[in-house]
Amino acid sequence: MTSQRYERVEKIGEGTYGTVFKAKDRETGDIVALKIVRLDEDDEGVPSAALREICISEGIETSEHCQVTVRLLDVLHRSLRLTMVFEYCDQDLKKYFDSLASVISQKTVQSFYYQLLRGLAYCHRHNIFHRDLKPQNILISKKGELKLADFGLARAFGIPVRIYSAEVVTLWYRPPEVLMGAQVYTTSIDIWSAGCIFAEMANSGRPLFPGSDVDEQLKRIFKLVGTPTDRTWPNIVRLPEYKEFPPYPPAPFSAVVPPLSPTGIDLLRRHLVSYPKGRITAEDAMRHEYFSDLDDPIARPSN
Amino acid sequence: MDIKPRTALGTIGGNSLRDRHAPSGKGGVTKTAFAVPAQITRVKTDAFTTRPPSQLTTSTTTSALPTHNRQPTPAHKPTPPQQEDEFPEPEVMDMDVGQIALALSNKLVIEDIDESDRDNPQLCAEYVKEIYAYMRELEIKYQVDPAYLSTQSQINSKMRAILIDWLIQVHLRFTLLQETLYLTVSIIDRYLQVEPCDKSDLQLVGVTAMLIASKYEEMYAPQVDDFVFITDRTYSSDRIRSMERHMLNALDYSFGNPLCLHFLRRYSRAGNAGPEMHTMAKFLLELSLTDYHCLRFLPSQLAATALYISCKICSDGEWTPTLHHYSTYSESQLLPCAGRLTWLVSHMATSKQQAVRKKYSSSKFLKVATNSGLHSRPIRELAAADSTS
Repeated sequence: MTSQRYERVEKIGEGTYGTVFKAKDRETGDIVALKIVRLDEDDEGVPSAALREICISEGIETSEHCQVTVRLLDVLHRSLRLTMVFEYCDQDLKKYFDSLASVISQKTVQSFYYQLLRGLAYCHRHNIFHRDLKPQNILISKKGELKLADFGLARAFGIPVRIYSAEVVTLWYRPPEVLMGAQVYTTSIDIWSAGCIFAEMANSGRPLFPGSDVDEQLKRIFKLVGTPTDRTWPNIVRLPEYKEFPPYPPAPFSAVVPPLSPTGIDLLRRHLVSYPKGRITAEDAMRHEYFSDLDDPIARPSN
Repeated sequence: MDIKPRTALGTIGGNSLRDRHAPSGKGGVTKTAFAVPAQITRVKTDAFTTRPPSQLTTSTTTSALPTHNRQPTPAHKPTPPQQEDEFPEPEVMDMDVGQIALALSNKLVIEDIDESDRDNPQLCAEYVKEIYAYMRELEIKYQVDPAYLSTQSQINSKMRAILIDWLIQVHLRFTLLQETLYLTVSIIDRYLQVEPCDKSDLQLVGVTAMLIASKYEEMYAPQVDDFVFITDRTYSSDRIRSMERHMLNALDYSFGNPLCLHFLRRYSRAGNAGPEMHTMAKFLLELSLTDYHCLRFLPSQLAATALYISCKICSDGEWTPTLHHYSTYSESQLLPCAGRLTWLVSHMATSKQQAVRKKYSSSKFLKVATNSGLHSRPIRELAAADSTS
């Protein structure tokens, strides 16, 4: 149906703008993931999300051997259908959490999180921000390699970073400035999402801020990190959708993420800073003491 | 093949029926087939002003807007404030005035122009050096053969100039981002380098390139119907979509090539350029877009040269060690490109392509195109050295 070459096995999900299938490559016998976008007769042609995702995925691929993102193998463009062929990974981080029989080992957390940061640092160095980091978009290969996927919301940024859509990042992983309508943001938005995922990993898959709407999301955040003030976040009141919140004091992180070591807590704290400028970079995070005893050969192949 | 511009205009438009019926010798043909429809501005302005501000930030999709309308639908996008198109915010630019003054007083000092940006995440100080180094690699990878048109049997550099001049007007009417314009031209050149194109399809390639560039760069891209309208229905939306598919495949979906504008922003910072100097450099860069000969220069080189000339017009004209350092270009390395850009300046009054000059004569662009410094002696001397023409 899709083509002679790829045989669909099963549907595995709905992406931001396309349907994803597990499929078999008849030529090589490999299992692949097909992301299929239907193009209606009367629409706008190729959606910009697909265009950017293909462009960014190919750009990433040609520029580094170390595979931190899911590889785009092929693009098929028939008149009413656009198919992206990606390498297939068995699991995403969400499914991995669901499959855990008991609690996650903190060594695994350390290795996974280091790999996530490495992928993110790579993107940020190549002026790309992901803008939709969440466990479902982080895939795990059979070998335990962690790869970033779904660049449908990602885009390349210029310097100075200009204004972009505020409609980015899934609610639970969305940073306070985006929740308050900021259209000027930078790589630090991915760092916030990464921090949420870090805590979620350490807690064996319990989301850190599972809010149900924007207000509740902000409330949950501020109850942990403290309500920002004009002193801790200059000009916060000028954000497009600024709202006042009760002045919650910061709560101890260790109570929220008990399995995490003190250095891990310190690293997490440096991610979850409401004021975007206060957040650590992916590169600095990789150098943090928390990783000093990292010895997983997959996370650190050179060691 | 030496086609008179007006004939080329008509032919590029592909609107042969209209050509035949148009009164001869009045220029009416070219105006109808190629002028940007005037009402588009009005419709757009109305649509914009009647939109409640709250929708500007919450609207996520443009598809809710009617597309079946026979009238143009440039209500396609609430125009965001285009701060990125313009010069970096004044407070950002003023932050290191002290440091620059220090550097100027001691010419041997190369100032760290990123030092003061550590607390401004918009400037990505922590990654800026790596990102620019990467862009310099990419620009070489994406450079087109400066003689690529010799492989085209029906297209010449005059037609290319006419097309781009027209697209500059379309870009202005659609109020798109600066990046979109540069990316559009780069897509056109890269496509024409690999695919033969009929004269009658050149305008189709142009609008489709702008559609693709808009999808890549803009928050709210114009709709396919907007481009149908802007070509006076010369091409159907079907043809635009099918050309889009064709072009995306021909270019392998790669549109991340660095643009001269990206480099100019960096260099303007290194040169502590004020709004006038920066706008003047942007004017020179846009002037270079229609000039086929400029394809032999890299985007970073064009950007450095535009700022170099702009320095001569708006400031003391010195190419400081800081500018040399951050651009990596010495003054003498810029001279060939400076010759070409100033030649374009010295011929702009008589050029057939007037869109850029007109655009930059408006107060929105600080009327830099009317600056008498453009005709000063140092500029004329640079132009005299141009070896291209």
